[in-house]
Amino acid sequence: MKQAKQYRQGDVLLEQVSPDENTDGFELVPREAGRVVLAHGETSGHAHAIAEPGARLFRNPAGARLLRLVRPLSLRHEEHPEIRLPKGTFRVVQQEEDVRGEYRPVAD
Amino acid sequence: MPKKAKKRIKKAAKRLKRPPALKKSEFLTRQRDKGRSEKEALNDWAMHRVMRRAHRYGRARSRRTHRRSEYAGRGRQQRAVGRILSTPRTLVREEVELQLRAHYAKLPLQLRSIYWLGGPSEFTEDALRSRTYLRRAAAKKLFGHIWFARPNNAHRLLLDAIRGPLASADPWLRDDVETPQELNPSRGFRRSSRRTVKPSKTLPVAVCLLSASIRSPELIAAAKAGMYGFWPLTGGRVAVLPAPTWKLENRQLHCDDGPAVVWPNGEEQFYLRGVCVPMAVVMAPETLHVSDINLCSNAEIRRIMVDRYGAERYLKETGAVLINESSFGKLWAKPQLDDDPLVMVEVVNSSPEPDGSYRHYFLQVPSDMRTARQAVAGTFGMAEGEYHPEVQT
Repeated sequence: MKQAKQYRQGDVLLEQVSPDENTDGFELVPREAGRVVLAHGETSGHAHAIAEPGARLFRNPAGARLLRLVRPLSLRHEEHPEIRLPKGTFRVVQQEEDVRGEYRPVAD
Repeated sequence: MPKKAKKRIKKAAKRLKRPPALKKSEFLTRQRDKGRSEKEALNDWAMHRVMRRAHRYGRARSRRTHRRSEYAGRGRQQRAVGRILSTPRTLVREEVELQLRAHYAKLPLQLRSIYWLGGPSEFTEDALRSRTYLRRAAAKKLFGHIWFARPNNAHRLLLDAIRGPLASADPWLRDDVETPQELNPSRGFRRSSRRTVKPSKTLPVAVCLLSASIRSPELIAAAKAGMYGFWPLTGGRVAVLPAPTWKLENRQLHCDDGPAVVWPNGEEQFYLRGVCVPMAVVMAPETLHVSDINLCSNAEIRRIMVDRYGAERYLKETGAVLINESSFGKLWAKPQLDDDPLVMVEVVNSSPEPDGSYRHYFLQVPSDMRTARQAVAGTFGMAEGEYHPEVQT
């Protein structure tokens, strides 16, 4: 079976999924200051974000997130080189660490 | 059509005028009229479609639409405001007050008095009592972005705002700050309605900062005269925060033997390579204890604490043993009395620092991890075989 493409920028992982991915229960996450922000840094004020138009982020009540790109766009972060993402739908996964059975997001 | 030919056409299309929108039948009739055969006409149609697509997604089109969009000139403004805010300035109070009054003269709002703050901690005491809403659409244009912050986050928001221009261009809008749909900058401004703002959770304080969308020359002049930010309060009062002094290294807030930011009232903030850390980490690293590091909930601050404490010393004192090592990282385990072992994966950041070094992070993982790849995959909620990033930065 062909493996899904994965893109990782620091503590954020994007996994390409089928464009027909079921989006029932997902709601559009509004842009923040014109950017689609996938993750905020806790201490540095930095963010993994897409500034250009053509990207939409959806979130469901369980916290799962899907990113839709209508054209190839760049994912940017102040401390990491940008990643050029192809057009498509992506599952957005935030890195978490397990602290005594409790999951805690890793945010730089 | 071969891939190479498509690429060549796309490239050429960027330099040419966009072909007109035509129906397939209409296009084929035109080509036949020009004397093209059926096969050639169909080939032309394929090229026509590629050229139209290339124009749609190509640079020529996106530049044109960008100029018309709300993002036009945004980067330039951000850089201009960021440059002013991140330049050390001498405070000239009279000039700041004069410029603010000139700015307010253009607004449908009154300015009765100016209240000078000495540092960020003074902001909360006064502003949290304030009950001001900016209801006029004009205010958005003249003030820039407006944020509604929850009371417990107001101070944090301010701190983010203060270090924002130094750290990066526009990072201060966070997900713990509620932006009502009406005020969402990406959707334009409409009259504010309380329906979308949750009154119980939302602090009715409009926080106005020098941000990317400010075009007012008076505010820029006030910033040059030493103003860092201003907040409209109740009764026509305005709180003004003067600029602090700071130390930078490699364009990051950094000072390893004292505070990196000092406010006019003596408030201090400690930074190491752009990360805000507790005072003890900078001033008294020898007082740090292994348990302090393990209990620190933020991976970035924990990394700095390990750096200050010494990575080798940290691993030795925790009694950690290397279980597995691969290109994904190192897996360490520390046996504990009456409990599962403490297992950590040591990973290296893929992006180098300005000085060429690489950051090492220790992440706690479940105690049943056996390989570094399994541990790293687990941090993304995946099984070992599922984790295979193609691009990693």
